[in-house]
Parts: sequence; structure tokens; C-alpha cells
Amino acid sequence: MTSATAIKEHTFERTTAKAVDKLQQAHGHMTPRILCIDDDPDVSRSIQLRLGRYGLEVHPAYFGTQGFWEATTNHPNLIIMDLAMPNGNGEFVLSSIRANACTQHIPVIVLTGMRDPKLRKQILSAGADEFLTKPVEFCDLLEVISRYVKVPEIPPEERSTFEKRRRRMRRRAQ
Amino acid sequence: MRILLIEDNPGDAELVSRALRASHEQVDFHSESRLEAALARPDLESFDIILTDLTLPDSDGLSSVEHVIERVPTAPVIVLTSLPNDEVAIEAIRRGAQDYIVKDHANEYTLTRSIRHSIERQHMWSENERLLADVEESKHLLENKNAKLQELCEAAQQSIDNISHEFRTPLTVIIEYASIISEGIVGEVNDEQRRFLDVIADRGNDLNNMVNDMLDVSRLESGVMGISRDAHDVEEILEHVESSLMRKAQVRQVNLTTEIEPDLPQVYCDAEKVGRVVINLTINALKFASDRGNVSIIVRKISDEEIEFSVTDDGHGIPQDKLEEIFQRFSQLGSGPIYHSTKGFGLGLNIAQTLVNLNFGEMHVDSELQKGSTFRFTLPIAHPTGTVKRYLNWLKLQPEICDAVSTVNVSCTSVEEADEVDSFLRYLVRPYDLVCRTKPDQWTLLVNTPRFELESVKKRIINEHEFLSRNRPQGPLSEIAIKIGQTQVIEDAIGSLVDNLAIAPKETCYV
Repeated sequence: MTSATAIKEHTFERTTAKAVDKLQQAHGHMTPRILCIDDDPDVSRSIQLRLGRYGLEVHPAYFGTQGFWEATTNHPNLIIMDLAMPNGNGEFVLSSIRANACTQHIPVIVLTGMRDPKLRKQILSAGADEFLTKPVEFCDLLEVISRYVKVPEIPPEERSTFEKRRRRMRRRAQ
Repeated sequence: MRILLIEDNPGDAELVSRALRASHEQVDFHSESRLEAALARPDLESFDIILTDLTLPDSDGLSSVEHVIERVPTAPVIVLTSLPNDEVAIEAIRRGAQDYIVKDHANEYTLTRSIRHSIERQHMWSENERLLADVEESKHLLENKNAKLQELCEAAQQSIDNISHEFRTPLTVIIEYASIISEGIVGEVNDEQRRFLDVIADRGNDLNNMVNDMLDVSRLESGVMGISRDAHDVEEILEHVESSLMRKAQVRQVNLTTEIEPDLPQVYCDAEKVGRVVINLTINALKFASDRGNVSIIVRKISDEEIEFSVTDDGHGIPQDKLEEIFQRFSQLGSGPIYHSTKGFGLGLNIAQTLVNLNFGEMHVDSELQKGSTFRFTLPIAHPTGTVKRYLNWLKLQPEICDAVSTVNVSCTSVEEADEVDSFLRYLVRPYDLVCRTKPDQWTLLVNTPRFELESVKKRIINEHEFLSRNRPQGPLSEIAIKIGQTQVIEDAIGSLVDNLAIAPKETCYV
């Protein structure tokens, strides 16, 4: 299978609801690991603090090349990354991740302060799965994350609103 | 008048000389029998007119004329020929001679008439050349200036984008940490602390919105605001903005409700821009709502063509005489109490109105003092032919645009990548253009630009396609073919295009 067709199938799978089920099977009940590539340690820290409560493990990387290295050696289940970074900007990291056979299947959420529709289009066609703009409402971020990895621990008081949102979003995606 | 005759036959030369002397002109007559000698004359440029035979001992035919014209481009040249209807003489005129005279007919009248006429023609010709050179030069200067301005404009836009990004990053951290503390994630907080922290996050979000407003204004102003219109669900538009608005309402202790009429058809718009409009109107309403008051967002169908969004508050209302003023830039109503003292730049409503217009809609406001205000805006329902019609009728009303609309047909070779080509085209066109997907792999772009600029539109599509293809991990994007179609004035286009150009329903495209 050439890498191009691999990515195409991957893209196709991701858009179906089955994707998440498959991911669950593949990872069993292990804690999903998320790699967060952002040059601002406070951004990573806040994502870590929040996602930790939902049973998600967040590993920070503070510049582009470090992020790519972490991705190839630790195989995270999901990558959240910024675009403007020293030492390997986001576009470079994204294309490296997509060009490397052992990382090209990892879903990538780009979370950036740039709010340019054209950039968004560029990044999505360069292989990112999602493009979110900072500041992002945490519930929106969590919902997007849950499209790619199973969120292990949703507090009971949030469960019903969370499921309602997911159902709505999934209906929309169909 | 100084006249030079180049003629090797002494009889013919004498004939011309006599004819000239017989005329009433003051003539300073010189003659040469060879071309080389004539061209070598140091006073060659001082002649008012040069008469030349075509067959000379050292030159033959057209080259005689060409040599003379090349040496003295400013002097008019008349060709002497022995044959009537001489093809070569006629060709000589095409190459720059002013006239030709059949020698047998050369008398004082024909000669003076031809000479006067040629001098006059040559004068006009030189003047034309000069004007043309001037026009060419100013065109060149303008093009350079234009390119430089465009570069500056892009650089300015880029630095505004970068500044806003630099601004947003610390803002994000402030908002995030404030809400993390407020939610008790890093330890207990009491109610008052929580309220203050929520206000910090809320004000941070206000700042973020101001950054967005300034970005939008600068983009709108410089004409680089991209509008990517397509058919969208109303729910999808509201979902993207709901969570942040709900949070804001909660912090400001206002009850915010949204109500969407069930089973609405899709609207034709740029979802992100409409989201911005809803945000701006709602933030405004939350600002002016009464203490612990209500704000409602209602979306409903008002006709077969339109869907209306309305945002209502129960605040103090706006005096009738201020209703127009509020849409002006930087306008802040001074009178009346604002419970939530956040002030913006006063850009919000102005941007909202502009963005609604770019989505073919209209914005209105009703207000009653002591009761509250309702801001309404309309969006067109997505419809195969209705959208084209709406676009053209809208285009007609826009100030400062060109009055022609052209069709550019695009098709792609790969059906699998057609959706990506579709979004590529939608991000590429300018606000006054329209993308019509007529078949899953075919598009007709309606471009509001003068005909002579269509080639550069085509070039832009090709360049952007190349750029995108280079950065695509799956390899280059599907090949596209671009064909420039017809150009019409908008009014004619309404007559001819509306019935012949139908946008394919979305279901048939997304196979």
C-alpha cells in the first residue's frame, strides 16, 4: 500500500463514526496519550490540567522538532499542536508527521491563535484533521478530541450534556 | 520649405524640380542621385520632406524607403514610382511612407498637395507616437506603483495578523487559567472569588473579540476579506458560537435562549462570517439587556427565499433618531445606563452589517424605549437558481464595482478530489464573485471583473493550485481545466444566466 492510499483510507475512516470504535479496540482500555506541541508552556499546562480530569494523559513538547521526535518515538494517540513555533513551525511538523509512515495515522488537531480562513484551508489540506482557534471553549475542544480518542472519565454531572453535544455533532457530520 | 529628392534619373529629377518651382511655395530644393550620398548628408534631419525613387543605383524597392525612415524617423517620406497602381508603392506606405506619386502625374498641384498632406500626416503620426509613449510610460509607472502598493498592503495585513496572534496567545492563557481556578481544578475557591475569576475570563473574551473586530475591519478595508459561501445548516452555524455566548450570558447573569424553527432549509452563506455576526449582535444585546434580563436568538423562515435571524434584548432601547447612527463605526451611545459596563470599539455593529451584506442579506433594527431592541438580519435560502439570481441582483446594488460579470468554467479530472477542489475554489474567489458547482466535478465562477483582467484571474487560480499542490501530503491536487467564458453587463446576465445556470443540489455532489 502506498502512503498516499494509506492516507486516503485513513481520511475516509476518520469521517465515519466507526473510527472511534476501531480506535477503542486498538487501544483497549489504556489511557489515551495526547501529545501537545506548543511553545507556550502555560498553554500546554492548562490543557494538561483540564484533560487530566477526564483521564487523558497529556505530554508536552515545547518546539516543533521536539514535537516530531516525541511523535515518532512515543506514538501518541492524538496530537494537539500550535502553528507559530520556534525551531520547526507547525506546517513543517505537520508535513513531517504526515510523511512519516509510523506517524501518518495519528490524528492532528491544530490549535492556533491565527484566525485566517485561508490558512485554515491550507492546514486542513496539508493533512490536519481539525483546525481550532485560540481561545477555544474547553467543551468544544473536548468534543473534538472525543471524535478521535475515547475519553475515559467523564464526570457524571457532565455526562448527559456531553453525550447530547456529541450526538448533535455526529448527526451534523453525517 | 526644405525638400530633398533622391532620384538617379536626371530627367525625372528635373521634372520634379520644375514642378516645385512652378508652385507658389518657398522651396529650398536639394537632390541626390544615390541613397548612400543622401543618407550621409549632415543636414539630413533638417529637411521638411524627403521624396525618393524606389529604384536607385545602390538600393532597390522597399529597402530604399526603409533606410530613409530608419535614419530620419521624423521626416515625412514620399515615394516616387513610374507605375500607376504600383503594389510596391502601396506596400511602402504600409512601411511608413506618407504617400506615393506616379511620376508621369507629378505636376505642381499633385506635388504640393501630396507634400502638404504628408507633412500634416507625419506631424499627427509623431504626435500619436509621443502620446502612445506617454501612455505606455504612465501605464508602466502605475503598474509598478500598484504592485508596490499591493506588496505593502499584504505586508501590513501580515503584520496585523501576526500582532493579533501575539496578542491572542497570552490572552488565551489568562482566560484558561482564570477558568481553571474558577472551576476548582487547582483548589477550593469561594463564590466571590469564582465570580471575579469568571469576570476575568469574560473580559478576556471581550478583548479577544475586539482583536477579531479589528482584524475584520482591516481585512474589509483592504479588500482581502475572503468570503467562502456555501449551503449550511442553521444549527451548524449557531453551534459554533453557542458555548462561548452561553458562558458570557451566565457571567453577566442574563438569560440567553436560542430558538430555531424546526426543519429549516439550508441557508447560503459563509458560516464563519455569519457566526461572527451572531456573536457581535448577541454580545451587544447582553451588554444592553436589563439587570438579570433576557436575550433571545430566534431563527425562522420568513418567505420562500429568506431565513431571518433575530437577536432581542429587554434593555432600555435605542431612541429613534439614533437608530442609523449605531451602525456607524466607533459609535457608542452615551445615553442610558449600561448594566454591564463593557465598552468595545464600537466596531461590532458596523462589521455585522457589512458581513451580512456580503452574504446577500439585510440588517434591520427595531427598538422601543424602555422595552428593548431587536436586531434582525436575513440570509438567502440555498436554491439552485435562486442563489445566482440573488447574487446578481445584489451585485447590481453594490457601490464601486465594475458593471460586468464574466463566467469562468472550471472542471477537475478526479471525482474523488472534487470536494477539495470545491473548497479550494470557494476560498479563492473574492467577495464579489460567486462559485456555482453545476456538476460534481464542474464549476462556473461568476467573476465581477473587467474582461481584460480575466487572464490574471485565471493565472491566480493556477498559481494557488500549484501552491496548494506542493504542500499536500497526498500529492498534488487533482488537475483542473479553466476556460474563460462570456462577459456581460450585470443586467443582461440576470436575463441570460439565471435560467441557464443551476447550482447542483448538495446531495448530488457529495456522493
